[in-house]
Amino acid sequence: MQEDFHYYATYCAAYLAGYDHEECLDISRSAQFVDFCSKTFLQKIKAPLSAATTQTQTELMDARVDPIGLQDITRIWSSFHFLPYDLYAKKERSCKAYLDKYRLICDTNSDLLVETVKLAKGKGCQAAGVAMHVLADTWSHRYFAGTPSLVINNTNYYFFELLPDGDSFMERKIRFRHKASEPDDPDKGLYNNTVYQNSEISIMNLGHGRAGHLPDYSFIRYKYLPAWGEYEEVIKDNPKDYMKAFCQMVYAMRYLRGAIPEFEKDTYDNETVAPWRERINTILLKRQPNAAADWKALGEELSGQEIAAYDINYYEQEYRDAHKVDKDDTFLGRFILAAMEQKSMITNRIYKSGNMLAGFSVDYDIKGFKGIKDFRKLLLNYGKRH
Amino acid sequence: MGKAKRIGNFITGLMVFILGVLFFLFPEDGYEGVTFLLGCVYLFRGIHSLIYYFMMARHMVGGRMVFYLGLILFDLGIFTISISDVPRFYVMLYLFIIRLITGVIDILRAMEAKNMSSAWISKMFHGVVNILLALYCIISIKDLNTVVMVFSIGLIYSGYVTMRTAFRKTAIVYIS
Repeated sequence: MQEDFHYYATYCAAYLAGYDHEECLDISRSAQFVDFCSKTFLQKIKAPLSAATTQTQTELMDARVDPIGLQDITRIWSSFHFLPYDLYAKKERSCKAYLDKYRLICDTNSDLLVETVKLAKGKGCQAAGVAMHVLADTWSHRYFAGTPSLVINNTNYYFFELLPDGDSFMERKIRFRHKASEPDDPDKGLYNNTVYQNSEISIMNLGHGRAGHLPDYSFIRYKYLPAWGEYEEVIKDNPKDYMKAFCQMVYAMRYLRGAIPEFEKDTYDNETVAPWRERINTILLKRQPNAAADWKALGEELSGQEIAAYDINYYEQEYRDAHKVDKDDTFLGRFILAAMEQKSMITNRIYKSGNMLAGFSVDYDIKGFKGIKDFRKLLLNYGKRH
Repeated sequence: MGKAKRIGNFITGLMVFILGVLFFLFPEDGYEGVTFLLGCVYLFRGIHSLIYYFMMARHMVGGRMVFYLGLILFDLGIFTISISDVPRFYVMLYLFIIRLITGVIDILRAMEAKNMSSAWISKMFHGVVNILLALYCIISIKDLNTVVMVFSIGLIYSGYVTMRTAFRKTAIVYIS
């Protein structure tokens, strides 16, 4: 997903969940910031690099693809953009190396999603924003894994858009190209994707790169053969999935606000969304690469307040100006803590499943503090000291 | 990273580093060694592709291409090792392309960091050095020793980075 959903639609969902305008802005800015909090940005504001929630294109081009580099990449993309569905999934006649990758495939309504939402409970708007980003991406990024893998994330020539045609759909072959300078052209069915690389661990095979931006467009329906799917085609209905994502966000944020006692899988707040369902459907179905303007209009209609355009530097000065001991109480400071908690939790779950793709996780309660020193911040957050 | 992996990384890095220094100090004896190493790289990649196919890619849609590629690389490796004299031009071209790509990526990273007012000088320096090495390969195409020396600089740096990795803290702390 992109700015239209992570920023504006998240604002709308937060408002429907009962947050006020300022809280909605904090949540949606945090949700959107997950796509911007790179090591390069953190280096600039002198913040802990372990809090990175994304990698820029050039960071990826420059990333080492030795085990340590791959673990760093996997921690970031699996924790925030491709939440694994089943860390103990089975597949017949598969070796461990294959299963480790297979088990990182993202899908909706996983145990890890429940843990992600519960982790954000009582931690403020920044943690809620991070959790909403992760939740929303499980819908758009399903069937891809947040680790470079040819055998999981590759796609081939069998890729068709399903265009409404009366009561059914007609197929149109999708043509992929590799010209980053030229935008996607939905009218002609021309989309950009990453170049085919036959290396298992090439960065080109990270996430949905081989399917281009298609998973991020709310209007599109398509079918293709995922590399892992044993020649079974997958039909992806983004308008339907995005609607579910929206309703699940409203439900999750009502839980985070305390309006609902428990967060459960496969539950959606259709009731709260019902009065706006038609309007939201219209936005989701409109053939446009970016639906930000429509979501913004809806958000402003809901709250009666202006929603300022997203600005990555909005909270930067506050963080820079804060005294060292007060940095964790700034907006970015709280975001950094939320991001590190999420990364720490997901890495731990992957590690405990016997999968080393995200690296080692040391349980503080058992072994004490042994690991990257950035994570000392979490000790204070939990009221524990080294 | 476990202790065994750290020790393995350190030993590998040290061996690559020493090999780089030896090539650098005795370039006149190193040319055949460099071409032999290139042949070994193809051979290794061929074997690696075949193992990769049987372990993982056979599950993949269109995975049989990996099998064919593995066979071709394996053949190419054996061929390269078996011939005594690889034309110098191809070795130069290989080094030129590797250095150029690395240099351009480093400079792009530096420019991005600079645009975000982040640290960029070190990356830019790496990029410029790599591009200068690439140009040096082209200028000195007739000098046999240059091939070996440029190659050995790459080996020394790679060995240093691998050894340094062995000492990095990498574990993520989980607090329940």
